[in-house]
Amino acid sequence: MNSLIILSITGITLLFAGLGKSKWVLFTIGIAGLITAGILTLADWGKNEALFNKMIIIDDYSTAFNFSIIFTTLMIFLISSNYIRNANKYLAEIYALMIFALIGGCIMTSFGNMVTLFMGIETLSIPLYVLAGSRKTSIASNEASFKYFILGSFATAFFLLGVALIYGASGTFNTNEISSYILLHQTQIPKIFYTGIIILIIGLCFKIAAIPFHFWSPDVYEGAPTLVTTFMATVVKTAGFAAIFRLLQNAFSNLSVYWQTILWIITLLTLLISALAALNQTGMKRLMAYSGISNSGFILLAVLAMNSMSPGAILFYTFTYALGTIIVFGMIMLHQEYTGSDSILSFEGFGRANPVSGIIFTLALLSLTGIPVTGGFFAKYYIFLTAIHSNFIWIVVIGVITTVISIYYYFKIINALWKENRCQKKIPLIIPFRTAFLICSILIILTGIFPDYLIRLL
Amino acid sequence: MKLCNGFSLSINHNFITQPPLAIPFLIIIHELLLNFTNFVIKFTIMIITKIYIPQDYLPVIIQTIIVFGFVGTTILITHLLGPNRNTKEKLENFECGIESFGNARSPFSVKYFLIAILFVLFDVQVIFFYPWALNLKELGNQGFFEMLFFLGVLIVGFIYIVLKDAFKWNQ
Amino acid sequence: MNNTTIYIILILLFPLAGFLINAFLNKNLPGKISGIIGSIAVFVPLILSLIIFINLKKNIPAQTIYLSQWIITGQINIPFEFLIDPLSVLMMLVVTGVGTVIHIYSIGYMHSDNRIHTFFSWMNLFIFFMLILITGANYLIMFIGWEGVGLCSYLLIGFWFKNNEFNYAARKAFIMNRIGDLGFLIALFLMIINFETLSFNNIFTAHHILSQDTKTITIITLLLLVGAVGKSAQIPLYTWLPDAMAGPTPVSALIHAATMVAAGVYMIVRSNLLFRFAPLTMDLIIIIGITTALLSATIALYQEDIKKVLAYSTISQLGYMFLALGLGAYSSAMFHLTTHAFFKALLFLAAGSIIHALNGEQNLRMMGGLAGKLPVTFITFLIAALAISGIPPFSGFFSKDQILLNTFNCCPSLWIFAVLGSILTCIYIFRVFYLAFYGEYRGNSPDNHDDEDIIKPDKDISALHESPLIMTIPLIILAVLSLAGGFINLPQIFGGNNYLDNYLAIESAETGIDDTTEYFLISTTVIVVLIMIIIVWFRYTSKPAQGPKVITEMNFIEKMVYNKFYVDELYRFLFEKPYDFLSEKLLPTIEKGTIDKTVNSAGTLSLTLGSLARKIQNGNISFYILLMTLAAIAFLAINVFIL
Repeated sequence: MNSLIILSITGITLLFAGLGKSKWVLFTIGIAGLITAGILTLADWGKNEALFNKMIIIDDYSTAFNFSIIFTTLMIFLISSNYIRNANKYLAEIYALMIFALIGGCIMTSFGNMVTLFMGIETLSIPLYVLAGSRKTSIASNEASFKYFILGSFATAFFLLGVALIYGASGTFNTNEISSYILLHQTQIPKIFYTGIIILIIGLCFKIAAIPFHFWSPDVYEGAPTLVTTFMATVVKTAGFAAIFRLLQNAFSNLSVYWQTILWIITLLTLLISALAALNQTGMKRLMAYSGISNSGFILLAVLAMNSMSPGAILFYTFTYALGTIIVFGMIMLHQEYTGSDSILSFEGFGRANPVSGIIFTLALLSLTGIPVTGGFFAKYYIFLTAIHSNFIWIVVIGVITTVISIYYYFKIINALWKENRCQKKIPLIIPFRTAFLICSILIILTGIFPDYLIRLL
Repeated sequence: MKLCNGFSLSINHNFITQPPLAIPFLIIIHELLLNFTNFVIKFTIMIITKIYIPQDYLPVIIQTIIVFGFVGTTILITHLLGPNRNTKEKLENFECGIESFGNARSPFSVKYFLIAILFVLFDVQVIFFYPWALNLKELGNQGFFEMLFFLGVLIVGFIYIVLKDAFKWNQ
Repeated sequence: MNNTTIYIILILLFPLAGFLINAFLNKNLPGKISGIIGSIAVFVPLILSLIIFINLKKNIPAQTIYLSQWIITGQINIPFEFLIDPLSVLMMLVVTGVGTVIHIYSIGYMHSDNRIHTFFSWMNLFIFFMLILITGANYLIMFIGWEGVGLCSYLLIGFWFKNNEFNYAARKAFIMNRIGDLGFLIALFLMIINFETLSFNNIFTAHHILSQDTKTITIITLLLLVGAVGKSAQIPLYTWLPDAMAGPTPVSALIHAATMVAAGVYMIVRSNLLFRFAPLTMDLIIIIGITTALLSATIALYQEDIKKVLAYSTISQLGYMFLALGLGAYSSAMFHLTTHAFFKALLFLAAGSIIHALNGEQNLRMMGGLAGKLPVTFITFLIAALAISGIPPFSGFFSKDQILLNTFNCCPSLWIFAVLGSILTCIYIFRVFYLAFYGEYRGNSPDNHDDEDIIKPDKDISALHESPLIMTIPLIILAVLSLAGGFINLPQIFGGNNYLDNYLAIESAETGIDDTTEYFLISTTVIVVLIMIIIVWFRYTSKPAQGPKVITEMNFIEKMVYNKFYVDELYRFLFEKPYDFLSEKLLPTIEKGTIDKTVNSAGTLSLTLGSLARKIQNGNISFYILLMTLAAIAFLAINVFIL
């Protein structure tokens, strides 16, 4: 809770600091605020308390996810440092909006009540609509913003309708009370309740870009500024999964047989279509969007399984996925700055011109693919294990097949990176970038060698 | 058309002259038709047996009927009751003052919208004061300070807007 | 975290740090500095091992050091844990001790090589993996080290990668080792299946072993034996070791004589509680050991390359260790391993010193009369030769004597073979000794340049000089160890108390031989060996200017031995040819026709489906909303009608 307050103060301070001239001050304030918030979050570990009439519940689950997204935002701040060099006019607003979105994410992981969840989702989404359009002169950015806004509002409407229907049936917003309502009225639960669950799931699936509610994702990822895309691919996704799992577990786990069918179909579609659609992509950001959707499919497996291993598996997967994604988008950002292109072809020879960056990039891609020694391998492994524990065998088989397909498009990038090409120039790395890349790659390897520490947290 | 005729003719022809070939063909068609009807019947039965009486949605339906009914009725009644005498002047966009010219959709400064949005924002925030004012006594000191804090946040926002030059017209 | 934990972490960290520093700062460091860093990275672990050794002496029991959890799946729990007991401490001392000396020696030996940093980084990496192999407290950790040393061995054999022959040698070593590793790996799987654990402490509890039937244990031990045979270069997987001499001489001394090849022996000693329950495997080990010892000693008789002789000698001595293992005399095997590490490293380093002086010449034909020119090398080589021949009071005498006694105790006929091997040992080693140091220098005689490919600049005998101090001091240290190393396990009849046996405290086979017989056996062996040395002296110094026999003068059996019994050719015929044949036949049909086609069409199918899936994403927002609504309706329909 303290971390939320710190974050809010940081956000407001950033807005005011933006009136000054120095951009590095913004950077410093942001970093300091995030580190403080991270430490305060860690201090919450082991606590179990309910605040504001059980509207917010702080427990280990929320603390772990909060720390994960705060850490991710910290990394994103580090790789945002070239915005400072380019003297972005709206930097203070971008930073502040990111922090506000982060607050929304933190609320999404620790809600005890569907109204709080709604509030979290909106607090997360509205700054993002603006952020997606933060490159004001770019048509693509504006289009992305507009699309995201329209489709996002559409999904929000779904979500609210779901909440309303469930409230209509059970008379409560509190997740635990809904759960006990289900237990008490096992046979005479009205149909609108079930419909509510379905609509609720549809609304949430939009946020995590699960097929067939993913349409915003490739377009928005491509159009939005890369920094914002990074934020969407990591923090939003992590928070979204934390929220959907928490909601389904706390409120509807007693009806799991019922909604699992729907989620099963969504997972299947997500895994299959995203892997296939990614194959022919030529732009890195669009490819990463499909990769993100595909990863959503994997995490959905753990949500679908809904057993005691799921939280750990989701935390591990989202965390390692965020690490890899930050590196990849960081590299795209650097590359875009120097060449102005994000197509895979333009990356040819990148690794040869910048060996260290190339190795880190490759490591991140290997982690996303799920090759051993990187964290990504154990992430996928635990996801599959979790799903098998709940007897979802066939969808795991599909998952493994899509993993194999995914090797193709990830290795297409790796192949391009290390091709012979003399036109590539050396891209210098400034210190914040180096720090972020170093931390992320070390963590990727550490999670790959000692996965138990993280997986056993929850 | 021609092709179609030819096709049907040739089938007839075959049927007459070469029964050994046509009969299995017919049997297949028959089987297919049977299966299809079977499927349709079964599906219909399934829907009929499984369909439930939508009593849960009754309030929603009633609400919908009322909403649409109200709108429809109102429009209808105004049309029926009101006298309907259209003149050229009456169909003008602006029916009084100077004569209109050009298009109404001319661009004007975004500052208007900014001011309007900001007004709405603060206006909506101030609405919170009404319930608070009503319950001031029950809320006591804590409520008072919480509202002060809320006001503080608003003022911080206001200061920010001022510093951002949102109210300066000539920029 | 107690002291030992810190020590073990430091012991492992130092070589790793050395590796990293040398690997990443390579061009920024002067060669000498990188050598010094490399040496320190091994020397500090030596000191720490000594500290652990002294602590253990004070009767602190063997301890398992738990570092962290690692793999936990289902019933199986494999942590990062390290085992400190007398056995591992002894090995640590040998590895770090000999390692330090060889690292220091390498500073001198490699000084002119421009990839010296790479050399030292790989050497440090080797030490790191070797220490992991030794200290690991479960088979998986051991396997990490096992694979790691194999990798380093491969890298270092092919260190001079510009020579294609050397690359082939490296590959051969790697592939042969892989065969053994496969056996080891399958043994691990079987252990996981049967014991559900890989920790030594758990596997070796009697409860665990006794609950298994003999067949399982036999299969597991046989597979472990395959691993050990591959690593320790025993029949039938020994042919890689002579070729491995392609690496720099310090590498041969450290990896292919003193430490890595002994890993197989160490592994069997470590698993001795398993092998005890598998008499069949034990018999097989005896057969492998004695055959290897005799065969390779015979081959060594006719080799011309000084390092090849030493390589076959290593195989032969490892054969003795295996013999001891098969007899159940585990501590004797460890004793011989230790002394062998000293004198064989010394032999190699002395040979390296000769090679260094002769500018890379390894052929015995080109040597001779070096005694006066390289005095330190001469004396140290003599000490090592006496040690390996088993002349008292040199270290080899005590250790080999123990093995011979154990052999006699088991079956006297086997003892005769073992003594025969010992005689062969002294013949080939003194042949090398006389050919290199006595007679006249043959390096500049033109008729010896029959090999057209490798014409080296003739070197005048007067230009030869002794190696620098940095190379001779390691020689002297090792000479002292070879001289005195035997006293760590002085047997009872010489007034000792079998210190090493008591220290290791591994239940070994008892030699129930009375003192008279023992004296008789020992004196017989020593006298025969001494006689042989004199005979060899006459054979090789009678005609001073003559080198080894030329192949044209040999009779059939000699040719056979000279060509290493055609084992390489046999393997080529048995395995390589059919393999080549099969791959040639299968390439067009199975690979191209079936597999490639299937895989390619799967790829094409995915791509086609992918472009279809891409078409949905057309950028039109109302289309998106339409699709989303349709999907939502579909889900609701499922909700209403099916669920």
